[in-house]
Amino acid sequence: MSSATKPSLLRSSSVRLAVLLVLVIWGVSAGIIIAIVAASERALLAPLNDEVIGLTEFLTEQLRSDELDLFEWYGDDIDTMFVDTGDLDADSPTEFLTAYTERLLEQQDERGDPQRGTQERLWLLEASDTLGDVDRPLELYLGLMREETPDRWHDALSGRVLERADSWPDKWRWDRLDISARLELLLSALQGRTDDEDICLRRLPLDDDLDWRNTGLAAAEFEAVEITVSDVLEEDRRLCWTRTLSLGNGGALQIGRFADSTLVAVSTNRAYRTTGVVVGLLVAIVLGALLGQRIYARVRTINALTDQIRHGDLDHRLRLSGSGGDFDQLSANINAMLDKIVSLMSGVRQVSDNIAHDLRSPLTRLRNRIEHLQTIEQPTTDDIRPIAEQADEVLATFSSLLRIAQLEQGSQRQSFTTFDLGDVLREVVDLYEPVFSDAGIQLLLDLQRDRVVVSGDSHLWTQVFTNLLENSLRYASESTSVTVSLTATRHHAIAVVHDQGPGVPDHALPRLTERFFRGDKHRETGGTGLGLALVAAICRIHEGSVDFVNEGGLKVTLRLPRNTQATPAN
Amino acid sequence: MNILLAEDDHEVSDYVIKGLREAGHTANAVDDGDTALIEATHGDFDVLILDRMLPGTDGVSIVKALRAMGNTTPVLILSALGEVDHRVEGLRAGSDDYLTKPFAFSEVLARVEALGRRRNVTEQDTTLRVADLELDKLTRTARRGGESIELLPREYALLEFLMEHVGQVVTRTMLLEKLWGLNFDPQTNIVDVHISRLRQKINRQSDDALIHTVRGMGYVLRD
Repeated sequence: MSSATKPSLLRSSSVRLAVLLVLVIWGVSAGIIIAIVAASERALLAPLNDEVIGLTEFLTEQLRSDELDLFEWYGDDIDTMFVDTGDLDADSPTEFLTAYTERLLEQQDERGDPQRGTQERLWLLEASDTLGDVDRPLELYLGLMREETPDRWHDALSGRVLERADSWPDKWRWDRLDISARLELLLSALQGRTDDEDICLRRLPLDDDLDWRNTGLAAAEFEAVEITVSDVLEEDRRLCWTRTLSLGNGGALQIGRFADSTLVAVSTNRAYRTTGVVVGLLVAIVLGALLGQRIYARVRTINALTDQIRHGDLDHRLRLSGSGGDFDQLSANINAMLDKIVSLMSGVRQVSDNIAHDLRSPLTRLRNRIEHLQTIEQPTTDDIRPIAEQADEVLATFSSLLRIAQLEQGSQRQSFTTFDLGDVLREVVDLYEPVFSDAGIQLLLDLQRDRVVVSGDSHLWTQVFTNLLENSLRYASESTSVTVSLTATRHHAIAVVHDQGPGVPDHALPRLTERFFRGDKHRETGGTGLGLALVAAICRIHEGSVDFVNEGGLKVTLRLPRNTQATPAN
Repeated sequence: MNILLAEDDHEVSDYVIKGLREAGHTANAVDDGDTALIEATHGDFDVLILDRMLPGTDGVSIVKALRAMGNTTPVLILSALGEVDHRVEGLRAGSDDYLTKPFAFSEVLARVEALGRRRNVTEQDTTLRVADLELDKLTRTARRGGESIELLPREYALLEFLMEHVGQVVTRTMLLEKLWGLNFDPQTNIVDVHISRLRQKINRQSDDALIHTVRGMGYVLRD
């Protein structure tokens, strides 16, 4: 059941990962493309925008100011509109003015669009009705009539026009106009001033029912004007770049600039923007799929391996890509974990094999003895003691096995301290001296150094030398002396236990530290068969070594690093 | 002696309690740590025997708690975890002795009696006397019937230990542990050899054997 659900879980989580990747990459790439497009659009529209802002500011300023300085607007252009009056047939100033005006209008029609200069002159001649009856150009007539010949009427008229233009502000009485009138005037002025094609003006709301003249915009209300940038306005299928003047009464004036040429760029940009989103999505899907696939493939490999492990196959290892990335580290960790598991499992297997082979027979013997005891009617202490001793032996073997196993797990290092190995040797030799002496063996201690400080567990080293001396007693009883010596090199403490016994057959030397290994001659000598295995295990956790050689007896050499990387216990 | 045993294995518990009562002690058992801690703080016990692994508060924590409260009742910890680390941990927590399972009852008894007695020995005693045997702790010398006995340091230490536990059975394991710091049993009977050496020296002056062998248990020094 679990084997069926795990891969599907993995798949769904990798799908989630792929979707996430796609979204992230999409967001980033689309964002970049849109930002680029938006920047280019802003660059395209910037001059247009500046123009519209300038226009709006001028309008606002003019609407607010006490007097309208139209000449500032018209003065420059008013001279440029030359009207040819040479062939005009006029007998009176009235006729001349009418002909002049007609000629102006003709010229304007010929040019095809209203020119500023023409508009200005028409205004000043009151040919336009926009000014209402504010001021009659009576003085124009009077001025013309004062000339001696009609030939000079043209120059006189031009002079009068310019004169009137000069004194415009005084006559116009701008300050008396209400805001609607000002606006009307300004709009007409603007229409006259600029190319009609370029300027886009619109009063909002577009509802025609709203009568601008009757909205009664007061100057005070106009103070609340706000300027907001509006978006692109489409009117008559033309693009207009606008700003909106809010007029404070709910109405507004939209001022803009037709931007047909920019329209193409802007709409292209809009297309690019959409394309950016789409391209970003495509890039994201491809990249996301590739990355997701790569990750999924590696996860799948790891998953396949762990699946194999679950089924008991510990031989395979993950391949490293060599990139040193997270996946490599994970793979390396899994491999290291597997190595550790294999070594632990072989340890466990060895212990269980040992138990099967070497504990079963003594336990069976014990059982037989107990069975025998049941047949005795009145068992005495002498009948029972051997059984208890047998049980003790089994327990001793068992606890030795357990001890080796625990040592091999490496948990012992916590109890490491620094101590003088010479002290340990002195104590062990002191303890065993009477026993050796009783056995007719001289136990010699040769300490070539005052202090050989090592780090480790001193109790364990006591056990090491105890075991080695026990072995000498048991297997080298014919020795006349056994020597225990201690020297030290720069990096190692070297302890030697050297007996004068028969030694060990060469083929058996490498097997001495195996659990339950006994030389052929000593099958019945007793002992657990674990003494040297324990010695080897203790050496291992201290990162030391133990060597056996035959040298006029058995010579056991122990090497222990003098500065092991152990943290001393407090 | 009044002894409290905290042990959740009822078979072990019954066996130990029965043995302690047969040896003439008052012994009672509880089977969880919390009750043990309550009993230990309220009752007047001479020795506490605590299993290391107990339901509720564990043995080592009980010792720590008791010592923190200023309770100095001797504690013997029983444990199936026989490794050095655990032994050190138990002793460091303030327990007085530590015994690994499986154990012989004689071992428990010997240790409990040693712990109970130790409480009564005054630290100021610098001279120990048993019959005509005298031990001067200051000069580290021994005399028997007025004659001085030449002792090696290891022999002196052994005699001192035996005299401090006069009248009590001292097991081989106790001697190995307390005197030589060996927490495992060597195959060879080194203890017997040392005892025999000491005996020879002590008995040289007199025919009265003071160190007696208790079969299946250990040794006892008495008149």
